[in-house]
Amino acid sequence: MTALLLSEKENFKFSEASEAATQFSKIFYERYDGRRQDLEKLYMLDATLIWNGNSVSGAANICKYLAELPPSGNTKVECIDCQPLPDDLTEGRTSMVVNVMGVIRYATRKPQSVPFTETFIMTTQSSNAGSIVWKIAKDCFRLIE
Amino acid sequence: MDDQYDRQSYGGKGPRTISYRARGRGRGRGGFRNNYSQHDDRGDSFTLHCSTFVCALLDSIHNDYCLLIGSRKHNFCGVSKFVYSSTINKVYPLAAFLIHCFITDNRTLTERLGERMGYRGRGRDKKGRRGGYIAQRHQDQGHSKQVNGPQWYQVTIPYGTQAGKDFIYESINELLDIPFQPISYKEEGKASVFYVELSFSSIEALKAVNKRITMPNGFKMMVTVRQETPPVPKVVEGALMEKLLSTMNELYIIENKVLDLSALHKHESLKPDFLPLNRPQVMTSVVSIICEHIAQDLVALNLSNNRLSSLVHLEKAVSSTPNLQGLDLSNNPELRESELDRLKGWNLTEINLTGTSIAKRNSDDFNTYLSNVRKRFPNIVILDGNNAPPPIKFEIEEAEEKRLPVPKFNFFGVDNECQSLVMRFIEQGVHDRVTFSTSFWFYPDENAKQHRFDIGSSRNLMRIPPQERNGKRVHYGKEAVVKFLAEEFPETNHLMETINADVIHHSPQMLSFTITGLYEESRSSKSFKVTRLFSRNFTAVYQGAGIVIISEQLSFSNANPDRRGRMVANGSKRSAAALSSQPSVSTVSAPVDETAQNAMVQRFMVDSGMNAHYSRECLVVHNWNYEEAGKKFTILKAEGKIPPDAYC
Repeated sequence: MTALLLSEKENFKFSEASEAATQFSKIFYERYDGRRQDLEKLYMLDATLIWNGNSVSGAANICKYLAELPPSGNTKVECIDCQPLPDDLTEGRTSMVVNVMGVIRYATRKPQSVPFTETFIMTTQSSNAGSIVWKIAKDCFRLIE
Repeated sequence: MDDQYDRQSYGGKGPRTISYRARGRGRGRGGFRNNYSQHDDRGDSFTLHCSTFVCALLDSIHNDYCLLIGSRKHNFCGVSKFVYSSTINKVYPLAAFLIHCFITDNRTLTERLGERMGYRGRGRDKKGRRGGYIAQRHQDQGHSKQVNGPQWYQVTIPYGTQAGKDFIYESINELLDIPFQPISYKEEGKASVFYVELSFSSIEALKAVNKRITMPNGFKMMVTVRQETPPVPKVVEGALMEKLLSTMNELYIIENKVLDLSALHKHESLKPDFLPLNRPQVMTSVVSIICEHIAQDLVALNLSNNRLSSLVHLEKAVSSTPNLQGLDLSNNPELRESELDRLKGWNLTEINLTGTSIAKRNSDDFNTYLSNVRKRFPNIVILDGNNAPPPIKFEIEEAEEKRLPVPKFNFFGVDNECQSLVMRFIEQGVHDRVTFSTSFWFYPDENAKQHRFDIGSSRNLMRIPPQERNGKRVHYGKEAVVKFLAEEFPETNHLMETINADVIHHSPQMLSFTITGLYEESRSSKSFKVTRLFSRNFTAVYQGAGIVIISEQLSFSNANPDRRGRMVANGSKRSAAALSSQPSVSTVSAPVDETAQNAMVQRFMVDSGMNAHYSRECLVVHNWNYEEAGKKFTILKAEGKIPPDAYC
């Protein structure tokens, strides 16, 4: 039996998703450290966040929840991987799962950084301006400690 | 007073030649005399004083230079001879300078000497020789206090080994009317050496014992005393560590959660070992004991009278003792203000700094003092026993006041509806067209060894070149994935007690969940294990009765093996917190084995009257918690929601 090979189209989906994931993590963590109030636009309206086991729903609530967390600094993303999701699972919308690992330091945590992992399920939707944009549908954060 | 003073300074000999010179010129200077006005109009006493002063200083320098030229000569041998000694060229200009400044300037000599020799304020060199020590007594009150406090002395009894330790201790103790508590007895050749802590005034009494005791061999016992700290064990471990632990146990007042380590080295149960808290090895051990045993409980800590000068080793206790409110650092004269910066994380409300140089420097104005202390500990309300007005703050949430939300264990959706599904997945397989990718990163975990992973199959987008960000590094298809896991990927053992599972998404089409924690990676030699920190994200689809994995991403890094212990400790704390807020949440692993499960199903069938299938389902949903399942069943039954076929 010959091994399965990814088709050209599937390969392209991986490239496309990888490119988006790299850009996204840059934007996301820059805002996470400095301007958490600006994160709201990145979430879908009915997005869900599971922050260390605590669950929050709705973009506005998520943003509020994140803003109330202690300030963080020097968040370093060390590892990104992502895989596109099969279209038939997501009602035809282009979607992907992004897995990010790195180190984060919260102001209350003295003195050292803590490794964290965050998984996003991202999907595309058309923005108000008419273009198609990536949005976070699900977000799951864990401090590994 | 002068006479006694004089004897103390250089062994009871009278004024030197130099003193007459000092008198001759010194009397003409008003400035100096004003400085020591208590000796006014007493020419002799004044002279004596001058001579003592200079001789003592020269003595100290003499000792230093003797050392320089390789001589161990400690006795003072006459200043004139000394000053004009042609062999020690360097000494003469210095001595001349001393005499000059002593006579012409009313600044303290130590200060002048400090300028010239780079002496540190303390006036004693590293080996504890008494250079500058006497001069120190003439300085301002501030320094004299620390010098007047008890000091450690080394007592040497030549040929003492013949008489033995007990004989020496007993006979000296009989002659002394001050408490005599010798420690660290050792034999150096034929001499016996031990250490006592005595105040400056009572050391004379000990010196007076010299030649007053007849030893068993008929000779008089010689007693020589010099200032020297007893030896401290280089490492605190084994039996010594246990002794320290039991001593600290005695000193911990459990009702008030107060640990009183005031003058720790004096504590009876530590003797005969000498464990002063100002030595790094002792402080480090104390801190590790605190962190290990009472970290969460400790409310107040007393570290007074320990001659602490640095708090660098105490700093490590700050992050692990979040509830500490009171700290006593009093009577540590050498403690400087900047050392408090190391303790900034503590939320102290009470601090005592009396008898430290911090209090001394801030003695003019209490409010400035308070604000200086509050720069480090903003919530201080009692400073040195004085009530301080409450701090005025802005109504903004400070970073310190924000707390990270209590982490909860595994998240299985709002009603734990996915728990049984996730549990079941483990028994299920993978999709034929599964995609699997691994990504590796290096985490600079403290002390972690850099066990590199073969980067060839890593798909870390931060590291790989853009042209490889397509599906090239993805393992595609069930066969390829199984082959990779079996043949290329090292064998792993997931450490269940460190693992969290979160269900990120579940819909009628798919289920996505992430597992994070640690696993151990076995290398070719089975005994050698590498600890890894990982995050595995699974996306699964429904197929038949169960679910199959359609994609997986495994990201991992190296980790310090110590992390396991810490994570288990955090986990147990966390699960305690989680239990109070979310009682139904439990760990991934079903706590009951198969035979026990079957027994539970049988029992549940009898109790509920439902058939085996429904009974099992109910127990699975409640993670084999019999009581929970029973309660839920009772509720559902009362509401009439149990389908009739459940009973057949």
